[in-house]
Amino acid sequence: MNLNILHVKKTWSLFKPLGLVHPFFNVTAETFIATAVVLGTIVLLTLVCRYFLNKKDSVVRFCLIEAVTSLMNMCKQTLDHFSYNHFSFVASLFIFIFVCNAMSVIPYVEEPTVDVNTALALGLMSFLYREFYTVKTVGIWTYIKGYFQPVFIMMPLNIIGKLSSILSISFRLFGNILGGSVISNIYTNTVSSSIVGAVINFSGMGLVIAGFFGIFEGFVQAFIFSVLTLTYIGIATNKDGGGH
Amino acid sequence: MFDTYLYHFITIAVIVGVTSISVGIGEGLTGVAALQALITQPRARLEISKTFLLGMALIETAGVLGLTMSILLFNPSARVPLSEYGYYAELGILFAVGISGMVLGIVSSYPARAACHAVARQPFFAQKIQIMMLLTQSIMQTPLIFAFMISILIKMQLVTSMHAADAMRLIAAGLCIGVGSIGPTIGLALIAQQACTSLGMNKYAYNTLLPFTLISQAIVESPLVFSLIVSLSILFTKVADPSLLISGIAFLSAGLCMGVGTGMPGISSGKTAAQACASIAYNPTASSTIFKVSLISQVLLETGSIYALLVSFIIILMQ
Repeated sequence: MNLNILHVKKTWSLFKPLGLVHPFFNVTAETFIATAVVLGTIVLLTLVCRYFLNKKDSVVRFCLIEAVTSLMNMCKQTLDHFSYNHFSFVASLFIFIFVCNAMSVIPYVEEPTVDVNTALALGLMSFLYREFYTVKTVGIWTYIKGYFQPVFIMMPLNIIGKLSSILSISFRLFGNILGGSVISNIYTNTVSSSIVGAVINFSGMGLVIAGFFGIFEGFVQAFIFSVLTLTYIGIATNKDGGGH
Repeated sequence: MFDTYLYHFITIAVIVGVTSISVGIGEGLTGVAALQALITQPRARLEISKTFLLGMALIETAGVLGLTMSILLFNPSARVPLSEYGYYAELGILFAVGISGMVLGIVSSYPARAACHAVARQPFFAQKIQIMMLLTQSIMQTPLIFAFMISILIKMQLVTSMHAADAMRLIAAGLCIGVGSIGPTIGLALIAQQACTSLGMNKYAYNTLLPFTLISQAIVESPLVFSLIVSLSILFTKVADPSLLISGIAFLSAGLCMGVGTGMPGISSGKTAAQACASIAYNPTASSTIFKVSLISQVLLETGSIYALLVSFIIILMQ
């Protein structure tokens, strides 16, 4: 049974020739490969979509236009106005996370979001984008003053509160996807180790599990991640709203 | 004494049992609410069933995380032989994931039930009610996510715990985040429920209600962040003299102090914000005044948890 999720995985030390041998600079091999597969899948999907967009009167074209329109509408409703920058950021986050989570459908590929590093990187990106636009909207002085609200002594607590928001948004994604991955791993291992299991395998149970945890849970988590980011951006860029 | 393996298997069984019981209760309550909503508004059956399914999927998270933790503990291939105290220390994981999962499973049905009724009142506004429910429910999962994180850290330290005081330290870290998550989770749930109900009453208040709900939930989470800090500092502090039992008891009391100290501030600040949500729905024009009053009273209510934080830090530093 391969459930050693929190144990040390195979790593590549890419920066060894430069003299950087600390574990911080190592790259986890499986996550790297899986992310490359995800990026390749997204490029392929984009090419397929391009092909269908040029064809008039096709069902796929209609579905694509509907999906993009609903995303744009959501962005417009949350932000009160349509902003192309925010829309492209949030939409690319959504597509990347969804394809990452749905990777469990493909055999031999692990979801990159099972690794804490991917989830933390996504959370950090969303956090930094939000803070950048907060500074741009309210100005650097008001932003720094926000940390000393309501009293001067609360400053460390405010900073910790900000940092914990990164943790909560990224560990929400990580925990849910890890749960799904562990459960489908157990299913695959039990099935492959017995004769009864091989019979069950033909009933299509594996497809149901992969569909539920990979596609449905993956969609819900990707949606939550992007809508949370979008709402926080909306609060940050709204001048007469509530500060932080 | 019992065999030390007994504690190991009790931990595994109770985590998955408690979380699945509470998820079952929560899903049952949501189902009842969905049926009631269907009776009041049968023509909105598509919207109501969609809301119901999304709510169920998010309630399920408590069960999934509990199951994952149990499996990670049970995993036979990666089992490292622990000392006797290592198995006792696993009780910390039980307290962390078990308590917070138990509370979350039941309580995260509140917004789902409120959303079902709200959709029955406003079928053409279903999409925004669903987005509100999804956001509030996913923010409500923060306590369990923190508890899950702390349990992973406890699990990494199990191998090195060789003394009774060490085991007590790990149990204290789990107790702190587990007991500390009860109050904030209930407070978050009260806000979420009232926000969904208010949206059903006055759909034009959506643009004011959504930022208000998110900011209030972030404030209710601050006692939880305090207990996370205490938990982390318990985990990363060395026991001064491992042979003395009293240093372990000091950690236990620090953890319990912070854990119990978050309870009432969390619930009462949640109630305040929930009442403010209802007031905004009744009177959207006065929203900025309600906003300010609610924020100030929430911050004042949480002074109690700051005192608990100070006391726990003093206990940890002067063990």
